[in-house]
Amino acid sequence: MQDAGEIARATADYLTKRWGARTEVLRFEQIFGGASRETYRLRVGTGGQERGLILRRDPETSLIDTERRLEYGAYEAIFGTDVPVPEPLFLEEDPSYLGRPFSIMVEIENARTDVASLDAAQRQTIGEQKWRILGSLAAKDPIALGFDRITSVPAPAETAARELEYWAGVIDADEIHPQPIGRAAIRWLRRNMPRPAQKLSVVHGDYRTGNFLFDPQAGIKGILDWEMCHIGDPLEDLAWSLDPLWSWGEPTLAGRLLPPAEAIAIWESASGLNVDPVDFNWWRVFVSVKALAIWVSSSEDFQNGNSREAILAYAGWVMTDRQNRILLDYLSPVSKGELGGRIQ
Amino acid sequence: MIPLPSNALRLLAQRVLARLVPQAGSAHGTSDGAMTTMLIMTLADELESGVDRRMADIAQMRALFSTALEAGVGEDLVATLSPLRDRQPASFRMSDVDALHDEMANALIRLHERAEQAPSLASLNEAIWQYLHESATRHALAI
Repeated sequence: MQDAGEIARATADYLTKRWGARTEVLRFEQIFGGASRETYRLRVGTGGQERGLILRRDPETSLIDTERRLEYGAYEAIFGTDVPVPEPLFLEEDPSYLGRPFSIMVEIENARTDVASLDAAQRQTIGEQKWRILGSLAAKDPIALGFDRITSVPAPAETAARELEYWAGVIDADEIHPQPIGRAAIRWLRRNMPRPAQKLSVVHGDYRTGNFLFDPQAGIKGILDWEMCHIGDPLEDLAWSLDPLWSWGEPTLAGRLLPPAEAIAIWESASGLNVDPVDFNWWRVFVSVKALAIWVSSSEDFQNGNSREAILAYAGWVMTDRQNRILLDYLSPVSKGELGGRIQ
Repeated sequence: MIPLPSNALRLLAQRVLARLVPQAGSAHGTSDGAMTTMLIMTLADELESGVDRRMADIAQMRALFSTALEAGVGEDLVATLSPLRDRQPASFRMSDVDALHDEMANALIRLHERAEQAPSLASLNEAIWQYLHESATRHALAI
């Protein structure tokens, strides 16, 4: 099932069955950029009322080998806490309804993801909130939230090695061409393992500008895209949020919002945790390798015809180019440290 | 007359962007069309310069392998690097140039690991990093 009209009609039938009331889809549009899931915004009418929903349908393939249950389970676990997420409604794994499994959430209305048009004061406000929310997530007990029911619980000493070997394995499996910069980075990571995590936390796994919805006046209204979430070292999320890739063209502002040092201070205050600079440097390099693995994987998906989505080819080519330059900036002895500073 | 392929691709991409993308009928279609157009423009540049960039990489890697062989890198690597020092691509088709580029890059990864471990190869290690910078700059995308 590929035709948008057909998907909309089938969704209306599904909602009618689940709600026990005739439901019409009044508006239905695909959102661009949902690389890990086909994402649709829809407006439905039921029982004389209208409401906005988001439909996330499994792709033919994706940038990330995701688990829909993991993402949906994360929304269920986090919803209602001070970390804002969309309200999850249905997880449907029977492909007979829409051709593939899917989930449905309540739409967060009057919100956007692009921070480019924010003025300086708005960037400050949204930035402070962004890292305060991340700090609050880091402070929570993942077991108390129920994450042990949807993902494995590593020992604090295992978190770094586990993540590194997983993503190095993705590069092993999916690289179309050799990655000499990525390989040098992996060797550096194996030689310089960090200390055990100071605590186990819920790690969002893709916490960056573009993955939260906000209103410039009301602030951040929802953190999205939890399909790479896991239990691990909270420094991983902080490092990912500060990767220079998300501030390309504006290297002084992490995520195009705040200076990195300010973001780290806010996170420390909100989480009650410390950022050890040596350990944190390891996580900075690691997240760039993880990102490289994702871009390598997307290239492989496009090249092998698993998907014809332009965004996969874009990520596989453009982002690999940029991520390699970030890793060079970090690790090369001839680096000028222009993108975030040399590590060594 | 055969049009210059890279130029023809650019012109076609501009036509798609100006004529077809506005008719996409949805925000998703417009964004998808714009990104596809951008990729075609980048492919046009790759069509024009891709072989040249790879051949420049190959020449630099060949020089690094010569330096390594003169410095002494161990018999296992000598066996890998020696034949690559003089090898040419089977043809100037992109796939043949890519195949040699990949083979040399794999050898470079092994050589880099060796150079990191041996204090006597510190200057080679630095030369490899320098090459990685220059190669990344050569292949950097303008978008």
